[in-house]
Amino acid sequence: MIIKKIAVLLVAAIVSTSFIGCSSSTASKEIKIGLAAPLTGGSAQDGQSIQKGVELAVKMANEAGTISGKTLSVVTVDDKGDPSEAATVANKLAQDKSIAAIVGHFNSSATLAGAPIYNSAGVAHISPGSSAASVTNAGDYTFRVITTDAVQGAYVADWAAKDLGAKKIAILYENTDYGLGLAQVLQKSAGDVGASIVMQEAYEVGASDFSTVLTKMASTDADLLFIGGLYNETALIAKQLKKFAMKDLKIMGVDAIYSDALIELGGADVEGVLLTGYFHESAENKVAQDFIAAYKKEYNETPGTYAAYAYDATLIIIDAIKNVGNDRSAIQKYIAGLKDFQGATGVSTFDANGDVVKDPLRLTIKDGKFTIIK
Amino acid sequence: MKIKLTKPVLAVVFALLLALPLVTTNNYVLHIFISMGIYVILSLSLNFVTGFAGQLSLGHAAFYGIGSYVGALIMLNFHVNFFLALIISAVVSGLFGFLLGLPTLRLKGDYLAIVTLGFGEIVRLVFINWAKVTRGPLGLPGIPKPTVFGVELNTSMAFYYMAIVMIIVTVVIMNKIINSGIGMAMQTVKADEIAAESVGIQPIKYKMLAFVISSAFAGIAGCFYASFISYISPTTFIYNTSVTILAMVVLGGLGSIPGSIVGAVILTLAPELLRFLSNYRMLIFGALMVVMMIYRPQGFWGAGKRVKNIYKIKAGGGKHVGHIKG
Repeated sequence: MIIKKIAVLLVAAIVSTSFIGCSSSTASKEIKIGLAAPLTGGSAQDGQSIQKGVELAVKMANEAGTISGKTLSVVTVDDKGDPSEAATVANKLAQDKSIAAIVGHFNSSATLAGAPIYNSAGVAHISPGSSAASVTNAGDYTFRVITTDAVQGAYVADWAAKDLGAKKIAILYENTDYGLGLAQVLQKSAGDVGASIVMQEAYEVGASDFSTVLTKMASTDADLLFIGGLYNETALIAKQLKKFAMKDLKIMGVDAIYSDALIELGGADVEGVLLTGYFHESAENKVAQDFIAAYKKEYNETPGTYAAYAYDATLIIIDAIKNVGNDRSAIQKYIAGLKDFQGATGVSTFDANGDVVKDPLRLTIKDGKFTIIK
Repeated sequence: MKIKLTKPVLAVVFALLLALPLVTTNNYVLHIFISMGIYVILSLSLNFVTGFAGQLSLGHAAFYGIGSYVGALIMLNFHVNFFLALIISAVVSGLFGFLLGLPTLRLKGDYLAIVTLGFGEIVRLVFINWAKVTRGPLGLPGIPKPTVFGVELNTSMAFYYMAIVMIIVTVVIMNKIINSGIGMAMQTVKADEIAAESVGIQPIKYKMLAFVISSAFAGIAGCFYASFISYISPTTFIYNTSVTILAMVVLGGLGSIPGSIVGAVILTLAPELLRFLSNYRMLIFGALMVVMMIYRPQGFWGAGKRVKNIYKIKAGGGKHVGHIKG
């Protein structure tokens, strides 16, 4: 009995020391970059393409040569897209002093839960996908390579009203921080450019039947439907919209629907869908072209938006490490002062809040391919 | 495995826990222990209603969420002190427990489970759609940390010790109730409602009491969580969380306080220890739970000897639940 008791206590001791011990290992030949992304759960598809983007950037950098004799490596953790899990893994990454900076998180809610931890630990993190407005005030160590919803929403309103002549806009958005953020901004900026919002309806992520909201929209005389969501639902909405025969209705989305999956799922029904985008293979951007070529070679598929954002976030971190070494606060200062960084998603400059400023491309789908509108 | 929760064993465990932040400054380790603490309170509170009063609830995350949102909102909007917010969250969550209990506690077993499941979904949808107050899916960022006499307690160590204090308070209160007449009546209701009624115990009254106390403690855990993470959004208070808490209670052993603690500890620790499996982590975790339930259906620390224990107390021989063997 006593032996068993001792055994149990021993196990407990081993478990706790193995926890404590995990911070003490410092590999001197490697510089580590952390990656926190939703590798499982609802956003897993995007999380995995983020992982591919990061790993590709690191692989390319290592092939190009070592940084003062050290190679780069990635420490990947899964945040499941869940804020409480994000806080846990943020602590795990922030705690490991051999990690120079972090790419993460994807979901805005996960970024907001992780940001206080990174900021108090003093380690920079660059989000490849959190576009919510509230991330702006998250702290000095919080950066993102994606523009805020405010920028994209205003841009989309401008494009729709001024250049396409849309007067009546219907909004369908997913009921998440992302969708609601976009819808709110668009609603605000539509008034400024002389368009009115005739309908604003939310749908749950993963919904497959949109006939109710589409019927409602058909009864308004909307001339443009804006979708604040991701490619799966956009493809389904475009398909189900066909039976309403609203010929003059234009469908518009943002960069979140830039994915081959949209065309695969939507087929002919997504022809003519308009969207903003930050990278495209025919754009005159050598980094983007190199990235797309390398990505296709490595993974045998075309990269989506978030792979490109993740690639850029990693490039910025690698650039910082090359210039100032792996000191955490030096990296933060370097990124904060970064001007005109040429990445796959365009030219990045961070403002005082760590938000990026860049102009999107205007894309449409033509003959089953994303093409730039000239 | 036979471990008696004798005083020396408890003292050793307690001393180790107290010393932990002095041994390690690793915030990741402390973070996991604090999360564990939150789940310990949640599983203890659910165990109170499911384990002791025998009412299956599938909506415990709702009370957790109500406490979280109430605490966060009054701290953000009215700058209420954290400790007062903790009490208010407990009261409001308890009140919702009462309101839900009023019409539903007449239901039994599966039917009650379905109603609580529905309640959980309703609460989640309110968090998402009452955007004016809760900011909907955008969540509430920047929830303040507790302050004591103007000093902000924002270190992991502070939260760690607060969690320990809260767990001790929870365990002591629950232990007292369970071993009091009220607790006995509750367990009688669980064992046999008709028999309970025949000896003059009103089942509804005791079920309601269990429900309210359980909800109030979940509310406390929620408020603590909100201040600890400093950001909350509806995605935390989903059905999945209710099931996780229930799994902790069942895995640890229904109707046992040490069981609920062990269940919460294992189910928070295991996913972290399995992190090296990367994408297969949750798969293996699920498989382990299945294996566990096949080989140890009574849980890690089940209340197998609970009946005997009651006799012991009646005879004046035993002290309290600490003596359960399992």
